[in-house]
Amino acid sequence: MNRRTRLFLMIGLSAAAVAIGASAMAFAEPEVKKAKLGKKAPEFTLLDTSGQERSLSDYKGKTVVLEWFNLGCPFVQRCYKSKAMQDAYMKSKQWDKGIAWLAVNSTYTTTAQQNDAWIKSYKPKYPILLDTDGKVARLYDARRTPHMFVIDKEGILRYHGAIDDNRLADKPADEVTNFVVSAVRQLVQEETVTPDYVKPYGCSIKYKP
Amino acid sequence: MPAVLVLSAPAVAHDQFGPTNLPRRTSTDHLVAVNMVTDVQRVGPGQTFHLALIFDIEPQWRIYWKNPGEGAPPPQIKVQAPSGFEVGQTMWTRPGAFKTPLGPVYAYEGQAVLFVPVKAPMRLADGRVTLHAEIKWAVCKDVCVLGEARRSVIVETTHRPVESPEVADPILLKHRMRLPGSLDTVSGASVTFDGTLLSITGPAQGEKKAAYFPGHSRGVTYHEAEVTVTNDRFRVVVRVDLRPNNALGEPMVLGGLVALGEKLDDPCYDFQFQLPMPNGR
Repeated sequence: MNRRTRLFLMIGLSAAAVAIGASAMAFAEPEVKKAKLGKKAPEFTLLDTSGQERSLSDYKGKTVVLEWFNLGCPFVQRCYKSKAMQDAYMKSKQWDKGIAWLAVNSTYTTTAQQNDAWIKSYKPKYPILLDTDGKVARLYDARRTPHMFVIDKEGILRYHGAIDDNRLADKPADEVTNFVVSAVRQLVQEETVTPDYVKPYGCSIKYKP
Repeated sequence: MPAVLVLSAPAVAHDQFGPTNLPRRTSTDHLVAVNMVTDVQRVGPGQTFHLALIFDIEPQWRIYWKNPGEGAPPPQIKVQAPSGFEVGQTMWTRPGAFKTPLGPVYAYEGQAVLFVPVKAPMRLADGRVTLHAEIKWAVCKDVCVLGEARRSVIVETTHRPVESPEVADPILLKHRMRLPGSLDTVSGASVTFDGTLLSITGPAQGEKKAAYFPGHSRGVTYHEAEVTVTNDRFRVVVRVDLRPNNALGEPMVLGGLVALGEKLDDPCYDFQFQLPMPNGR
């Protein structure tokens, strides 16, 4: 890199340092309907696999975890086979007994039989909501499975992204950071949720064409 | 819901001797066949050579670049080398860029080769050493499939310096041409960052098109880049959001790949620089 480039870079880096210093940036953008960190999580209503209607507002006053889910995705399968997801649920529940956990399946090809087989196999302690047309996934800009969202008791979206930092399953369980459990713990302890976003990993959401 | 096959390459050690026995698809059952070879016949004291991981990928399926964009996680390679051998960072060749409804995906199709540099110790005896690699990947088309394999390679060692140590294997040569050069070495190239906008300019080397593939660093979010080529110069401008709290204590690094032209064999250059930590570390 030539001298001029370095000079620019130095100037740029100084500016970057200033920008980082002001990291507690306030988002003064107008309220939007789509999910956004620090904003009210958008309302939705979906049917679960048993045909019961469930709305986000049903869980008013509770911490809510949304887990974007696709039973055909090997990353989701791995989370369930290794019990990483079930452990995350249990640990979150230990921190916050009243927590509501909702799995959302936006995979348009999933059949009711496949959902039933999954439920029989893994016996999740939370409902699976059916978002076959992908409307709620789009509302939340859910991109992957799994893609996790944590909403606080006031209905504000406080975390979204990866479930953990073990994207290729190469870490021993005691070295894995589960970002959902971490967010729930921080909410209970009235701390700022940090991180509030970690790029999710997994399969892309299979939206209805 | 289409049937989903979850396959793993057998976790059987597969010894290759040096650079010979170039990759063969060992099984048609797998979506990805992985082979590991070296780019040397023999290694001398202090010499750097490369392990080459050759991925033969089923048509229309993809494995991913170090920043997959909206794709699945990239392959992970863990190398075990004998004591005294230093294993460097994986070197990623130029990927293809594919548009998806969620955003761009950076990935490899057909055949991909990733290189891992290894430096031999300064004191080396005549003999042989074995290097092992554990490789994990996700390969995706409409669905993703996880795979893993272990591979080993034997390298001859000599206590004498080795002249012309590299093997001119056509597959390795072809893919090595796709390794990015450093933007630092390009005369007239510059990178600036004002805290929000990252600007990269340089000579287009006769190419009419250019693209920018962003790097990946926690706490750093790149928006869509504006890329132009005029008067044989490329210009990339991309807005960057920095969220130090999301870096999980890791340094935040700005970087990426500038890909000139449209073909995988066209020139490409990478750059990266670490941003100062907010607490001055």
